[in-house]
Amino acid sequence: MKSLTALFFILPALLLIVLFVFVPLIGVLGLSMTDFNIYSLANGADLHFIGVANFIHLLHDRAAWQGVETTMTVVLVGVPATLALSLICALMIESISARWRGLFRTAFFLPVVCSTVAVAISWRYMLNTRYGLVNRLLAAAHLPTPNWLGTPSLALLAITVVVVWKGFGYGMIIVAAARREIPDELYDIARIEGAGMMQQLLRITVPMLAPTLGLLALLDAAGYWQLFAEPYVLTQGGPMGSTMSLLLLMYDRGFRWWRWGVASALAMVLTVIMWLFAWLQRHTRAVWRGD
Amino acid sequence: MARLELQRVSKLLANRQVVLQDIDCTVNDGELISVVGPSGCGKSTLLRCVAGLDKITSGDIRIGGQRVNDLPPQQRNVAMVFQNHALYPHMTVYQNLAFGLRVRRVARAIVDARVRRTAVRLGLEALLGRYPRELSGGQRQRTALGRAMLREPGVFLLDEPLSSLDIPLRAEMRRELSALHTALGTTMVYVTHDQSEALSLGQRVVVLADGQIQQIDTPDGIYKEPSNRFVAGFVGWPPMNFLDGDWLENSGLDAHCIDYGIRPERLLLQPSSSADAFIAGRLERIESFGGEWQVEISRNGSRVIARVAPNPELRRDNELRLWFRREDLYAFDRATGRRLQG
Repeated sequence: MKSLTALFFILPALLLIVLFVFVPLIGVLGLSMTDFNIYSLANGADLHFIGVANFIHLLHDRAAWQGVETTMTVVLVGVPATLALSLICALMIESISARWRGLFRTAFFLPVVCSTVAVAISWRYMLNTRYGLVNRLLAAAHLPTPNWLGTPSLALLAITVVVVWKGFGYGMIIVAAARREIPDELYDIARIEGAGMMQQLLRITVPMLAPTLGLLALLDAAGYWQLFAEPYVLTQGGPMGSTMSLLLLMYDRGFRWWRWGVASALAMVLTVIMWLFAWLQRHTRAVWRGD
Repeated sequence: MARLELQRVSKLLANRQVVLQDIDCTVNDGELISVVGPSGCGKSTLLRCVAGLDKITSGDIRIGGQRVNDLPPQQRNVAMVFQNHALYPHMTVYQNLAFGLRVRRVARAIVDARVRRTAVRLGLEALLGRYPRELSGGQRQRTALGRAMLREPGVFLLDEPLSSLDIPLRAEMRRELSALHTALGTTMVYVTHDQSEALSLGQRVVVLADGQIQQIDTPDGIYKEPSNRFVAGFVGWPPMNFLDGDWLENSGLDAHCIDYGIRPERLLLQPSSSADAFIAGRLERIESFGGEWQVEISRNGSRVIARVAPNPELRRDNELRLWFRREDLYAFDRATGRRLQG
């Protein structure tokens, strides 16, 4: 009886989740084992079950591996950069006078709440080789003015910068809140013992913030694995596929080339990776909390 | 070891609010002095100023004869213990104890020897690998004390170190602290809001209120010879009774511009040759503490409490006379609150 009542209460949410998460997921899993493409749309007889052939195809697809490499690069460079920026800005806004704190907090947080597409479009203008703000400033300083989005090695760097710039404000707010939770007496003791600013940072602040930073690293990494809008707007995956993230590749295979089977297989791979992050987050939560 | 001298120390906040005013006090080498006062009286600030964590506005602080006004905390030869222990939650007991030495880059072998010696002394040797969250309140307190001891300071500054412990443990830690002081022989300043703790622990007691020193004396002196009405009312439990004119209308005492006070234990149920004056009121309440009763009488809305031996003849709502010796009365100037002698 009691469990029936409980079921009644969770039913609406459960229905929505089943309808919009599990059904599509099973659909995608099914699609990923077919050769569904634009021809199958016209003639169902062209649709065949091909087992794990799509996944095997992906294993041999250089574009897929490049997608992994591109995405991993953004994660491996972007996550530490985001964390560092979040930490530095959080400590900065916590140490300046309250009068300016709100201003800086708002300024740093603004990119987080802006539409990704709008942000990416603004950056595309700013990174424009001839008229962009970035190159104008570089030119004014008599520095080289590269073609940021047209050079393979620079395009991914530019995208990482945009991603980090857009994301660090979120972490900053979280880190700042965690920093406020550290009792002042811990720093008083450190001052009496003679610990300087750097020692206080390394021996107290950073270890005390480690649980928060760890959690943020996981959240950021999970987010950056799903990189899509920035390269979609800025480079469409180019030049020469150098900014083709996994998600963008899935979109490309699905909506550009109508190869739904392959795209679904990619989606499944990404799903598994995301599950991995969810699992990591669950199982490291105790560690982050310090229990 | 060091002597601590405060000379006309004042501290004002940015908004000109006075936190400490003209604090003059000398703590002798090896003395344990307790500082007591109601919350917000400036006692913690005083300690922070001595430690160098807060800046003073004027005056001089000398530790071991050296003027330390402009020295940073680590050069002042002090160690501090906080109310909430201020242990580093991400460090083990060992790492907490070793913190100061590690910060000063003392060689590992020396750190290890000294940490272990201190741990043995405080009974912490079995807990060195534990984190603060795995310790009891008393163990945390001992760890915090140990960390302060490892600094081998000239002056120990203790800011309500026992107030986060429960009462039986507090009494035990108070004894330990007292024994530790005897063993170390270091100058200690002990801040508390608990007057009984201040009296039982301090060789001398500083009573602080509104940022000013009210009195400095031995515990006995503070209790027997309070210098003003505030000290008289703050020290002792239950607090001293203050008798306004109504109470004393039959006594022949001039209560016109004088407040009289008497301690609850100086009020008697029976007259005697020396206790020939009395106050009378309706018996409002009897509170039994086993071996002792506290009785409360009232008259025109004002109340007086007496500590008396249990007496089954007492009845609530009856008129009760409480007798006292005139020399047990304390007299205070009503305008200034200052004690009037003789």
